[in-house]
Amino acid sequence: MKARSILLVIFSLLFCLSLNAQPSFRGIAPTQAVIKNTVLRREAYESRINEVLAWYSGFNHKDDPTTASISIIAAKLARHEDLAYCDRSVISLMKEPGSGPFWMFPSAEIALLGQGQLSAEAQKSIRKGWKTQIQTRGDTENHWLMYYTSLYLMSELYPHEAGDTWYNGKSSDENLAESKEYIISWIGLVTSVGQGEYNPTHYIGEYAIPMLMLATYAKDSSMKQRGHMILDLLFADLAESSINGVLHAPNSRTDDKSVIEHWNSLSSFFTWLLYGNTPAPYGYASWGGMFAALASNYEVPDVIYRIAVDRSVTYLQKDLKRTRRRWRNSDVLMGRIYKTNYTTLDYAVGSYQGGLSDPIQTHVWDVTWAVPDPRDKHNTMFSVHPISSNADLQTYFTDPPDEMVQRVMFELKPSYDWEGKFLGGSRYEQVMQNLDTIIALYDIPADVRFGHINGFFSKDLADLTVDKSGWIFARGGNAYLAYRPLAPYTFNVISRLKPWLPGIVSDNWDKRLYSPYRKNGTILQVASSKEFKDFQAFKNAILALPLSYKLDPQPSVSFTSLRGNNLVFTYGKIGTVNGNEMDYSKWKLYESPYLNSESKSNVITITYGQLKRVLNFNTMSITDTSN
Amino acid sequence: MYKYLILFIASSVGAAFGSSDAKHELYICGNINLNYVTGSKYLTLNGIYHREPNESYIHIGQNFTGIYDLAFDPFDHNHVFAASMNGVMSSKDNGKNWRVETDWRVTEAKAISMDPQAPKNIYVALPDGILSTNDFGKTWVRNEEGLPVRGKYTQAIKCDRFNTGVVLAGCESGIYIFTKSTKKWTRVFSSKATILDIQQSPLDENLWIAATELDGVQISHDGGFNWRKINNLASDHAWYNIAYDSSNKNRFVIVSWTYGVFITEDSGLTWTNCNAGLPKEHQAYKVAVDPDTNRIYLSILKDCIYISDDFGKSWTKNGLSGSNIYNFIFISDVTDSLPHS
Repeated sequence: MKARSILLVIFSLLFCLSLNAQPSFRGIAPTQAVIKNTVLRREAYESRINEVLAWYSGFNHKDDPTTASISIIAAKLARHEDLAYCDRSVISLMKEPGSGPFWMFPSAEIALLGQGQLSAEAQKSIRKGWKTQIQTRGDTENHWLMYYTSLYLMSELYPHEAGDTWYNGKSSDENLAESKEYIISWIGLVTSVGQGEYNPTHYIGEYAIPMLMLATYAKDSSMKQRGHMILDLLFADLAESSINGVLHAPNSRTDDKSVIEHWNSLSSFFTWLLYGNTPAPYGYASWGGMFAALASNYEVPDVIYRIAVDRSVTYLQKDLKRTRRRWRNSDVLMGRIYKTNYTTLDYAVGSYQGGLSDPIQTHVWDVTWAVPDPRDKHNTMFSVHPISSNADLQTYFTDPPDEMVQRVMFELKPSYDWEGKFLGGSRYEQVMQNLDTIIALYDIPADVRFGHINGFFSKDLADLTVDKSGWIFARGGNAYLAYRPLAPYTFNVISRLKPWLPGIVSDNWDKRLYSPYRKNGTILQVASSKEFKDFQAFKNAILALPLSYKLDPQPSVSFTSLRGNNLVFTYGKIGTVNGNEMDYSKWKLYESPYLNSESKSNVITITYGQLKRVLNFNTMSITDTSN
Repeated sequence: MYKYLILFIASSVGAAFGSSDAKHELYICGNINLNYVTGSKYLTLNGIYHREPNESYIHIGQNFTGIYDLAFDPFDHNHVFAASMNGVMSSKDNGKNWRVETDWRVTEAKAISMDPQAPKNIYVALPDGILSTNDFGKTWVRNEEGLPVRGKYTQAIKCDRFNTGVVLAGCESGIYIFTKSTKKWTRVFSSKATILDIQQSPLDENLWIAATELDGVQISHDGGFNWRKINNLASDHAWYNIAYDSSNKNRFVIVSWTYGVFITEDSGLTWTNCNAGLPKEHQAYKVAVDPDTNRIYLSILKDCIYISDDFGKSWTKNGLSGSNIYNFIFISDVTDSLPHS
């Protein structure tokens, strides 16, 4: 969500809605039990859909249609109820149409859901909004997908109409052709060189909802199929990047709350709805209702469901993604992102190689440990360089240089210029991951704003101890954690209460490891408690590992990990594993036991045991096998 | 015909011939709704404003935050092109209704310039290069031969008023010049960062000035082929743009977010700080000079438009409170009646 006003509306709505029961948010956390029976699984899925729709639909302000939200109307239309109320509400809402993709896709969804239900007057009011109010296309990938998918479907809904009946002066046929071309182009990019806004904690909705709309309503069967296939890909990616339904690093875009409290995001709505393995977020994270209204038209296939819910087997996943579009200050339009994800039953370690992906909201690396109930849990550990840079913003935005920082902070990224933030990547951070070992190095020039490192130490850690060797040990759930700062630091209570941070600050709250040195680094080694007799045995094992490092002239580490691999990493150079350079040139679009795809092939194979689904975006075909 | 064309030539931002009897109308591209972010409702009117004879500002056409620059057809002022967030737009009713002329391949157009002597030729500054048409917008093509693969972010573009087929572009990697003889862009100045504005003097066809992000203010006395830095101005921070006095070829004004307003009376040899009467935090965003009256129009971000009728000695608030002005555009009230060709 971007708009402050939208957020206020949502908060107001959520406040009102909080008076209502939301069983999946307040109830007992789901177990990790796998529902193998597909009929029972479908029933459980439908039950969750119905919960969302019933919850939204329960707010029935029959006497005042102006209090309705789009989500309430969508829920009622999906349930085929209170149509007169829906009529009045739509007409009221459409008196002041919004101005961009966040208005376009909800209004289009209502128009589509309302076919055969809404009155002609109500439908006409939506159509009029699409004529009178010019719509901005926005500047992000999610904006454009929402914009063009909505425009595509509305152009199909109102075919062959003249240009002067649309806000942009183009005819239905022109809009349809342009939208189709963009959507196909975007899908081609995603399935050949990777998604730009990969694994977003919240923006996943801005992809999933339009694609569900496309899969549900496109009259062109090939576009319908594209919508369905992209949903499969999005949710397979979500499945492999989450642990017990909680999406972990790296994330192209997240926010100040979710980076600490990973579960607290829209992505958890999807894991709850589709996989049933985590509680639903509060208020279904605001956009959940718009997906739920159409969700009966889609269900993840067995193979994706199994990947999502089975953490009994440790796996290494390597993915290729790309950065947001860089207008300037870069040798390439879109940089490559080499994503690593090592997941076990007890924890997941994920990262990309560092540098800028998105200028503001990236989360580069972390360990996220499994918890039975993730609500209010800050089950993660990582470090960041909290950079604030006009030059970085200019790389991605076209605004004049001097106002960028304040503009970004206004646009619901309030922590951008805050030295205490935990959100964001930095071009002065380089990361190497080998299985469950992370080495993050920092070399921050003297003129860069904020020349320190913030390490996140959760309130939920147990047995946090600082060893005289320099290692910091802690337990997170069933994960043993060893964190080695490479420069002096202090532990600071997060003393400045910021409205965008989760929870209430107290002495027992999260801590910030504050290390005010520009040449810096972090080593993180994680293991499962099952691997050791006790916590002390883990500590002893870590202390016995060969480690040498220096910070000048560049930070450099040689470390033999718990897994017996000698990792050598110097800032500005490619890391080596047992003397062999990490070869990013061989990185595939997906490579793991679960997801596989050659770069630029446009074919993704999703595998779980004997189950296999091949998404072939060249032929627009889905092939299932279960040998 | 060319007499009228030259009169029109004088009509671009902050430039006009003092000898002309033509009067000028002022159009403004800007946003009042500074609280707008993508997805929110427009609470105020944004897009294009027209300055009325009674000196009020009247909003024209659709409410849209993404209109950055305008180019008027000199033969028909109802025919307007806009550089916008959604690409290039055109209007045939003086900005009341618009059609987006480009597709998804074109976004965030930052500036637009029409060749005043061959108005069917239009050039557009884009974040990823330069777009042009030679048939009045029927077809648009990438016009990037000579630009580097990277470093072609383009913020400013301006057709030479006196020499048809000559265009100057302000890019991330420097200033580029396009001529009809070479039919490609040639870099004439290499910059550390983005060139933010380029303007040609209305009185001296060889005088061009460029405002830059990190290279101070650059000046050319040979039609834009050679540039030198104006030495007695700071260059640690960005200069945003330039406007000329239409009656005095030695006098021009430059503005900066950091430094505010500076004016020279001697072609840049000496400069006067003209910030007295303006907000302490300058945040000067855009400046223009009325070709008819020499009144300076200045946009201070999130404040309002300020005017000065004594060329910077004093300032008065002049409306559009809370605005962010992308561009002031003066157009002559004289139009050529000849058809396009």
